[in-house]
Amino acid sequence: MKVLILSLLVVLFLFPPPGAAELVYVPLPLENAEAVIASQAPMIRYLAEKLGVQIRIRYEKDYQQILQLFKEGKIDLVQLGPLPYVTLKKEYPQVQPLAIINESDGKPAYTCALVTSFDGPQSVQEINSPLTLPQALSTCGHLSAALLLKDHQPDLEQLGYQYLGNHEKVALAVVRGEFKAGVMKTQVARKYQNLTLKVIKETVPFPGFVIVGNKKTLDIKQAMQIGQLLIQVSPETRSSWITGKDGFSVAADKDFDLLTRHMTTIGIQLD
Amino acid sequence: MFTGIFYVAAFLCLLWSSGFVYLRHERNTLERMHLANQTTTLNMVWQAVVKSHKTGMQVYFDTYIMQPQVLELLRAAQGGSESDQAVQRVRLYRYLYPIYQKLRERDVRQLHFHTPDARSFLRFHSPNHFGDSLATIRPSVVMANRDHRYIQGFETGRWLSGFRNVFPILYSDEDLGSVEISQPFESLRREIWHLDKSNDFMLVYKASLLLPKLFEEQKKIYGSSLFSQDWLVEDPRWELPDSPPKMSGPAQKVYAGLSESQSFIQALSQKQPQSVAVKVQDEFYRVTIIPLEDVEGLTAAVLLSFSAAPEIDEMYWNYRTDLLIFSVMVLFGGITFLLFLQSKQVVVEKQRNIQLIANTMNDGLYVMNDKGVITFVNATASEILGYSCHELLGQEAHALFHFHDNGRCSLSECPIFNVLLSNASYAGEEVFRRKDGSSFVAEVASEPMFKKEKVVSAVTIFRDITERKKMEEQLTHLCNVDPLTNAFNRRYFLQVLETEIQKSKRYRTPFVLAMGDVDHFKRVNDAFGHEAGDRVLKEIVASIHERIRSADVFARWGGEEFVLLLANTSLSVAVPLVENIIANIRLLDFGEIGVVTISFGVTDHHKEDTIDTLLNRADKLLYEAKEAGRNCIRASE
Repeated sequence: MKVLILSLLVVLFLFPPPGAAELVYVPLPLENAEAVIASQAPMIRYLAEKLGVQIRIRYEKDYQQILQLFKEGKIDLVQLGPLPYVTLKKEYPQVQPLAIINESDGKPAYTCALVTSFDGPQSVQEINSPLTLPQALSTCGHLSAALLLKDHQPDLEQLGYQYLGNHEKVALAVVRGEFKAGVMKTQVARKYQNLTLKVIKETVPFPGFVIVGNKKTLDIKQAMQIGQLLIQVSPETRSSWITGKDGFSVAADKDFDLLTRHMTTIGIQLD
Repeated sequence: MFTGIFYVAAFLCLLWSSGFVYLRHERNTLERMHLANQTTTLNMVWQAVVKSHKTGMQVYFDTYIMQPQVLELLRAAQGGSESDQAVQRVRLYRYLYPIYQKLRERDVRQLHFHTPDARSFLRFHSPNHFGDSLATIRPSVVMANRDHRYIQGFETGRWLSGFRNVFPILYSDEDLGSVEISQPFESLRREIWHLDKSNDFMLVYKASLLLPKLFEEQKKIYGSSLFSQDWLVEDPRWELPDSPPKMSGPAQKVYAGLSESQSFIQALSQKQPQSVAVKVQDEFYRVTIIPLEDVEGLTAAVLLSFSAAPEIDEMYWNYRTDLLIFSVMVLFGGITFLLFLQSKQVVVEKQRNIQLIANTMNDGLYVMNDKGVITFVNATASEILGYSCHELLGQEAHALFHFHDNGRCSLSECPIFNVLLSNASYAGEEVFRRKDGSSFVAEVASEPMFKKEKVVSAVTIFRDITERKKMEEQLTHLCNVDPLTNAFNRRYFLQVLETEIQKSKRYRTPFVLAMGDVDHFKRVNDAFGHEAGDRVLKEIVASIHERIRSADVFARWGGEEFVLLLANTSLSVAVPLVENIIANIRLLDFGEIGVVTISFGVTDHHKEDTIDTLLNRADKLLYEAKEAGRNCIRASE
């Protein structure tokens, strides 16, 4: 009996049950690290306190790298845009959407915008130079740019484009005139309108950023608890937050059907 | 004894306490000096880094900001509509962005232009945040624009806190506002770390000064320090990519334990740089606190450095070792002293007992050292000699009261003193002299006293035997004298005779033996009684004693017979003497008894004589005298 108990203890030590260790959360690299972490920290502290576990914020610059780490089980929680989520879901079925972050208008949806500076093109028709985009897997990246230039000639592929890593860099690159135009999240673009950045055209609303759990590393109960905690957080609690300040909505896979159709429209095949 | 132990224990406690206080004071002084030295050194290094930083920023300002294009853009931004200003801001941003990138590579994070009225015009690190007034939160900007002078110093801000370098921008006497070029604390931390790699550094901010200035989103980057909520640390979880590297493990432990260090908390409130020692897991660390004042003289932040302090560990180890050695020495000394006291007590008790014994002795006792000086004397000796003990102590016994040979004996000849020289005991009779000058015969016994087999003193016991001597003489006299007549008895006479024969043989000295017998003595006894006879005999003896010398021996031989030994006398001299004796006796008046006569046989000593031959010859001559009619003498050679 003693041998059995000892063996059990050894097994428990070597293979702890999911949810027992420190959780790792990776936010979307929309802006620089300081801004991103400062934005996400209150929400994460709240979750850590309620769950009674440590949650570490890990800043990763590259979307592709984030998805890879998630698949490897090195990330427990991640914030994803709709496109990366759909992409990940296709490749890795163990993703669990927990909650969608509401935008400033209180809706769980956002748009992407084609932006320019004070001396840039004033309409889509005037765009005749390469665009700058956040990242390939960003919803406001190639997908949105292609949708925004759908009926434009020359088209996106002919104009050319360059990924700069995040939305803030896109905004500032356009402000500095390094690119005549770029595509980024509309909400982020509005932060830079005082630097003469202006929106030329917006996409239709996409599902908002989603907090995703990794079923490989989280048990179902804990994942559900995280989703519930976010959705039920009181306005008083989140009033001092940045990310999540406007609340959360229930996430479901059907929310992303529209995005899948758009992808099909412009010929993006996830397979 | 108990009182003695109490006082010794109290003294030892006092001594140990004094030593403890001294050693502790010494350790604390060394520790303070060490910490003061650390403070001075680190502060000097820090000041050097700050000066270097200031010089670098001045060069950047002169090189990159004060150029015509920049100044023209700033001038164009003065006045005009808001949209015109926005365009000029973007143009300035575009123009200087490559330079800002270059400066970032050199750790510059703050390139911030301000309007003359102290509002933000363009933050290169956050270009979309501008227009906010800095009048209340950035005194350095206000001062630079108001006084048109360069302002340097630590200051918190809405985005970043650190060492500020605010340069006023004047172009052809036109006030174009100011610009700030600053590096983050991390840059200065690296600089100081390169100069002193033994330390870990961290910066903490005064919450009451920092929080009111921060943009809301920036507040999330700060957290309370582990030692006080009044002080904040930036990025406490090291989540930002360009955060300073984590401090070393020991430094983090020290940091975590600072809340329990009262000396640290106290030092934190001081305006002067200080160092304190903090003990973590049995090891000491130095924590140096360098207050950073903002341009208004308020302590806005504190630079903390952590470093191992093996020197303080050594000080404490030395202190503990010294204290242990001192404690053992005090304990050992105390035990030794107690043992000494105990042994001294035993000695005192022994001395007291000896003194008691000595004083209760009937004999006099004194001890003299190797010089013959009295070192101890008992009461009886004092009483016998008539001196007080005080008068006797320290005096030479021989000179004071020895009276050998009527005082003619020198010290070296003194048999009592010679005990010291000969290492041998002495017993005998000596004459001592009292204080009043009278002398007495003392029976003396003296023994040497040794110390490591060397004679160092002698103890002498004496008693006054004057009375005893008298009694002895009386007894001797009684043994030798006939109780009736007071003449020597026969036994004594035979001893003397034997002695005289031997002396005569050896020295050829003559002597004469006369044997006498009272004539018709029986008739006296019968007629007048024995008492009358005894009276006759007494008077005859007394008469004879009057005629003979002291050297002569006259004895009652038995009954009415007497013998007379005339020493050193020839027969020719003796005969007239004896005839004279006979004549005197015949003249004695015995009252009713009448005349009593005596007859003598007188002979001298022959060399072949024995007692018997001599006595027989005298007896024959006496018989002849009796035969010749009595009251006469018959002598022969």
